[in-house]
Amino acid sequence: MKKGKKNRLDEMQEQKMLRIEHNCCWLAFFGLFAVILVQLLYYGMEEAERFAGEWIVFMCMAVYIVAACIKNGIWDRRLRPSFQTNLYASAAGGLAGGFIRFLATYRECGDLWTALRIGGIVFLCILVVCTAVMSLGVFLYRKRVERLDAEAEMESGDEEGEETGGNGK
Amino acid sequence: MARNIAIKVARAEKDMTQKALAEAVGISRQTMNAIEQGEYNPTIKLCRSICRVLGKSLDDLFWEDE
Repeated sequence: MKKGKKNRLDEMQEQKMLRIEHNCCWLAFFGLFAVILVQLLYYGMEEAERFAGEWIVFMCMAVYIVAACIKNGIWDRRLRPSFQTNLYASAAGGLAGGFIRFLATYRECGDLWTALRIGGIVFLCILVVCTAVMSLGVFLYRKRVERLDAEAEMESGDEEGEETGGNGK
Repeated sequence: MARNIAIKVARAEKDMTQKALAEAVGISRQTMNAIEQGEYNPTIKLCRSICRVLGKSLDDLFWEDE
């Protein structure tokens, strides 16, 4: 857009277009997630190749969002990057994953105890893996912010306290 | 977009570092730096916040002479 054709949208239209694209992106993201879950429940993990395409696109979107945010020193609009937050988010994901696996197993074998055990194992696995991955993300985010701050300091050319004494216009 | 020297001068007059100004305005240091470097075009709301903290008018900080 920048190098090629001239942007025909004015400022407000541009903002609205970004908003539309933003909504469309999240619709695609959660739409894919829902499709994967439905297919997982319907076919089970034994026929995972049926939804491999959706899973690859979903993971590409997830990896892109995380990588782009960390590169730009952004974590989240509301959540703080802390171990406690990571633990809660991982537990929520683990509960959802464990419940889905429980339903899928119960549907396949009909044994409640086996389904509960497998659901519990999946919950624990997701909890541990997600907490570890998110902690790594927080570590990378903090390193990146430090680097961006250092770059900003170099570009602005001011060290802490350098300007004391003020130089007028 | 040209670099915004006026903001740098105004915060120097107030003995403020870029980090201190960013915190006072409620934005990240990277954003403040991008504004000073002319890499980011802030909204009028953010311009007014910066002006308020530095005690300057919009013209003082954001008007570009041809």
